[in-house]
Amino acid sequence: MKTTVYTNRQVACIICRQPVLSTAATAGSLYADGSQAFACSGHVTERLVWNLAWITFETIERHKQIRAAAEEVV
Amino acid sequence: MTHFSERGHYYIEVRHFVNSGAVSFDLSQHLPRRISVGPILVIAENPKIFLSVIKRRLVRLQIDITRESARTMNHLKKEGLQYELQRLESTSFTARGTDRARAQAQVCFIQAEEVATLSNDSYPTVYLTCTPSKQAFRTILDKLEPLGLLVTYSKWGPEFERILGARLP
Repeated sequence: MKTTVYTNRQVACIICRQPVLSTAATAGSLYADGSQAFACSGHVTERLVWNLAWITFETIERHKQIRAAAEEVV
Repeated sequence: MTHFSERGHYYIEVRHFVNSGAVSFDLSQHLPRRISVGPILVIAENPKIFLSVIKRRLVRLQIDITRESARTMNHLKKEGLQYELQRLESTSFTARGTDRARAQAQVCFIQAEEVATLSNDSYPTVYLTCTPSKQAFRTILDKLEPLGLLVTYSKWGPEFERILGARLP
């Protein structure tokens, strides 16, 4: 498969925190600011690691959203 | 191997696997992460069967999460696990052919040719597990939100690239 048509930019993996090329990443849920979060594609096969890491990530981002909403009210 | 493309309008992941078991495992890992983003469309040759396969895998995930939640003393982790459990339990799935069922479900399993009949206009996530016709692919792209994610487990040929390229600004 041709790879030249694909954009190859670096994204941050929310699981191992390493920079990874977008061609080796998979998109998951969103950051609190609405931007797309990514993880290395290789982590998908690590069933529990994958799920627990994303659950923790989403919990932290949810707290950020709640704090941001509370600050707006104040 | 996964290819990932940010094509101006959409995120596209092309994920190849050797068998349907690997596809259903991968999708069941990926799908819960996208439930929080919005409604999901899963395009399959046999939506009802594929839905039952995915639900069985998600039940296993719920068991794992319940076990982890019982095991942890970490407050943040426990909160996250409980939230995930509640979300998975309350997520609505459908493979039914009625407009109402499809409009109300958070995860809709459907054949490629039926996508045009959907009343919902946009989905932030579409999973493609079979190769659609070119016309059906155009309709699927119509339903994909800007900056939406298309994950395809089907053969990604140059004809789809051409259709996609025609939509870029």
